Amino acid sequence: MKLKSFFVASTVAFAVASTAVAEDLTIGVGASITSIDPHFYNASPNNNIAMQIFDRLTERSATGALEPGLAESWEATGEEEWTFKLREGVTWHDGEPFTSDDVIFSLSRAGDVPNSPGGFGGFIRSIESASAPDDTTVVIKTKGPAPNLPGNLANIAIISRHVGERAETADYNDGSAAIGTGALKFESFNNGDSVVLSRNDDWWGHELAWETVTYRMLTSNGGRTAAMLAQDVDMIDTPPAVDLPRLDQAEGLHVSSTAGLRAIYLMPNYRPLDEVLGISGKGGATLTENPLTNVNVRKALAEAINREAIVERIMEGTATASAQWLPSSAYSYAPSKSVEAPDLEEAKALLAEGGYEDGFSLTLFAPTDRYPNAPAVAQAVAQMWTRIGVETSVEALPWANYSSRRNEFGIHLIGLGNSTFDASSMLVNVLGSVDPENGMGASNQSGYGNPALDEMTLEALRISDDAAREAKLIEAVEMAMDDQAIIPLYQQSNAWALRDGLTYAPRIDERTVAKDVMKE
Amino acid sequence: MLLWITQRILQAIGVAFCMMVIVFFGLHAIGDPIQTLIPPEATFEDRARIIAELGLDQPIHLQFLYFVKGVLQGNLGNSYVFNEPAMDLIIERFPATLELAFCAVALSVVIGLPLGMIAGNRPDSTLSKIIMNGSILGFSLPLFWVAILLILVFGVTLGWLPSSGRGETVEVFGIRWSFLTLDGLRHIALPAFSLALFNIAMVLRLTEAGVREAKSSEYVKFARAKGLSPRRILLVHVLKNVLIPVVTVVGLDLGSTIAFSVVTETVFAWPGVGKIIIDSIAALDRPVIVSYLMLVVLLFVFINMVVDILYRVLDPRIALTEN
Repeated sequence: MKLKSFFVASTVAFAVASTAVAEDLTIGVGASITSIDPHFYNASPNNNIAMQIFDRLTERSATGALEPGLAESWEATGEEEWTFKLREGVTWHDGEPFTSDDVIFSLSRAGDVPNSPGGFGGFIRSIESASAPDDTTVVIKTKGPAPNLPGNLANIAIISRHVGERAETADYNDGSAAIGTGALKFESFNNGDSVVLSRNDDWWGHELAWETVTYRMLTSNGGRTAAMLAQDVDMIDTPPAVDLPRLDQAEGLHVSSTAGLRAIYLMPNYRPLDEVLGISGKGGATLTENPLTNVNVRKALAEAINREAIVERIMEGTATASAQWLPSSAYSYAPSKSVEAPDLEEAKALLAEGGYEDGFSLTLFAPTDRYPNAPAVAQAVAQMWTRIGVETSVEALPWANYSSRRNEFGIHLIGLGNSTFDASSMLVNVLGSVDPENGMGASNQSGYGNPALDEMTLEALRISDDAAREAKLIEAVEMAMDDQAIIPLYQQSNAWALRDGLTYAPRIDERTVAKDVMKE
Repeated sequence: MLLWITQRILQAIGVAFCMMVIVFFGLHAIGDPIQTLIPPEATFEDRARIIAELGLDQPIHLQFLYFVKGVLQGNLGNSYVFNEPAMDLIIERFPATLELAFCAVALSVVIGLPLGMIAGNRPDSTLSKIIMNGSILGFSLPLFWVAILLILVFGVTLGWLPSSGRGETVEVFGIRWSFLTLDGLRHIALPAFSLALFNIAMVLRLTEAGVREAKSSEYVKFARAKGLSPRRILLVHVLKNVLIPVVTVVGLDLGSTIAFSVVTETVFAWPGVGKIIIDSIAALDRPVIVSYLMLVVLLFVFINMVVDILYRVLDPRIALTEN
C-alpha cells in the first residue's frame, strides 16, 4: 500500500511538474560550463551562456552572416578607423542605461582578465585605441588596416562599467556582476550541474518563447542521449554520432544539423627528422631527411585518402568530405579545391617523384577523446596509406597528453573550430610562420613556414573591400593547398536533438543558443 | 587512545605529503596545461601572460616549492578553468558525492545483510540458491553498463524515474541535500542503486559465509542447547559476530565508493566531485586534481580509523594498539 501511494504521489508530482514547466526550456549540454564571466575563458560552453546574458556589438547568424547587435551599424571611417553607431534605449538588467562608455570599458577588460587560461585578446589585437565621442558612438582606431574587426567583435561580450569595474570573475559566478543587456537574465549557477536563466522582457531583439531556461551539464554521451529519449530535457547539443538515427526516429523527437566550421585535418611536421616522432625508413632503415617536407610526398598521402568513404562509413554521414578547411557555404571557400576520388596509381607516382618509390614507415597520431571517431578515422587513413607503400601505424593518446606533445608528432590528426568564419584563422594562427612581431603563427605546432603565403595572408587582411579580400584569401587558400600544407579530411556536422514542437536553426559555429530555440 | 589517534594523524600527514610529491611530478610528466587550455586564437602576448600568471614559466622544483608553501598556508591554488580556489570547488561539490555514497552503502547493508542471512540460514533452499546465484551478477556486471541499462529501463522505457541530475534540493546547515525531498529521492534512486550493486553482492556473500560458519560453531550449539529460539540466536548472537567483517568491508567500500563514484556520477550527470575530477583531468587542471587526490587520501585514513574504533565497540577483545 505504501509503495503504491509512493508511485501515485510521484506520478502526480510528475504531472504537476510537466504542466508547470510549459514555458520552461531545459537544454542538456555536453561540456561543463566553468564560469559566467564572459571574458574569463574563451571556451564554447562558457560562450554559450555569455551569448544569452550579454550582447556583442555585432552578432553572427546561424549561418555565420554578420548582423547588427548592440551596434546598429558600422563603417570604416578611414584606413585605420572604424565607427560604430550604437542601438538607442538599451538598458542593463539592473535598469541602468547602456552607453558607449560601457563598450570602451569592455574592450579594455576583454583581453586582460586575471588568471584567464585563454581569453579574448586575439580578437582585439588589432585595436590601437577606442574612444566615445558621444553616448551612442564608438570610434576604434586600429594598428593597421583591420577589415576583420567587426567580425572579430562578434566574439566580445559587452559588460557595463558601473558593475564591471569592481567585479572579479567570482562576482560573475555568484550573479552579483552578471548584469548584461542580453535576452536572458542570470538566475543561478550550480557548478557542474546547471545554469538557470530567466527572460529579460526589455530585450531589444526578437520575442522569446521561454520564461526560464536551464542549461544542464550532461557530459556523458550515453547519459545525454538517455535524458533526451526520456524527455527529461527538451533539447541536447552534440548528440553522439552513433545515436543520431535513434534520436531522429524516436517518437516525439527530431534532429537538426548542418555542416559546421570545424575542420578535421592531418598536420604533417616540417621539422628535421631527428626532432620528430614516428617517421623512419621501411623496416627501420634510416632516412636522410623528413619525407613530409617533400611536397610530392604530402600530395601522394592526400591523393591516397578516400574521404567520401571515411565520411560515409566511419562518420556515418555526420561530416562533409573536404579538400580545404572551410565548408562550401563559407566566405573565402576556394571552389577550385574540390574533393577528388582517390587515385592510388597517381599517389604511387607522386611518391616515386618525391624519391620514395619504396615508401617509408609512418606513425599517425590521433587523440582518443577529443573528436568523434578520431581513432577509427586514423586507422582508416593508415590502411589507405599502407596500400601505396607508406607503412602506417596509429597511436592514439588522451587529449591532455596529446595536445602538449603535438609539436613532436611526425604527423597528427587535429581539428580547428574556426572563430573568424573565414580562411584567415588557419592562415594566421596555424600556417603562419612563427613571428611574434606580426602576431602570426601563435598556434603553429608543425614548424610550417611559407614566406609567400605569409605575405599573401597579411596582404589579404589589409584589404577593406569584402569582395577583393575574399578573392585574395581564396588565392591564399589555393596556395596553401597547392603546397598541401595540411591534409584536410572533412568538416564535422553540428547537430542538436529536440523535442517535437521546438525548432532550432542549426548553427555552423556549434553554439547552443537558447534565445533562438522557437516554438512551432 | 589519544596517542593512537595522534599517531594516525601523523601517519596521514606523511601519506598526504608523499601523495603530493607523486601527484605533482606525475602531473607534470603528463603534459603542459597551456597547450590544452589556450584557444588557437590566442596571441603571443596572451600566451606569455597566461604562462606567467599560472606560474608555469618557473622551473619545476620552484613550482613545487611555491605549491608546498601554499599548502602550508592552506591554499592549494586556484583552478585554471574555474578561477576559484581548488579546495573550495571540491568541498562545494563534496556533499553531493557523500550523499550518493552513503545512500549506496546504506542500500548495500539494507539489501545485502538480510538477503545474506536468509541465504546463510537455509543454504539448501531454492530461495537461497537464487539469491546466491543472483549475487554473482552484482560482481560481474560492469558498473557503467548497469547504469545505462537502469536509465534505459526506468528512465526511457518506463519513464518512472529521472535519468540524470540531482533534482530538488533543500538547504540544511548551508549545504544543499537532495535526499530530503521526494524529487531528490527520485533522482538519487538509480545512481545509488547502480553504485550499490557491487557492494550489495559483497555484503550478501560475506554475511552468508559468516552465518554458515557461525551456525556450526560451539557458541551457537550451546545457545541452542540452552533452549534459545532460533530467531534470537540468528538475530542477536550470530549477527553480532558476522557484523565484524561486514563493518570492515563497508568501511573500506565507503571510501572507495566516494573516491570512485566517478563513473556513476558521469553517467547520471550527478554533480559531485567525481564529475569535476574527470573534467579536470581532461583539462589538466593541476590544482584541482592534486586537491582531490589529497582529500581522498585523508578520507581513507579517516575511514580506516573509524573502522578500527567500531571494531573495538563490537568486540572489546580486539586491542587498539598493536604493540
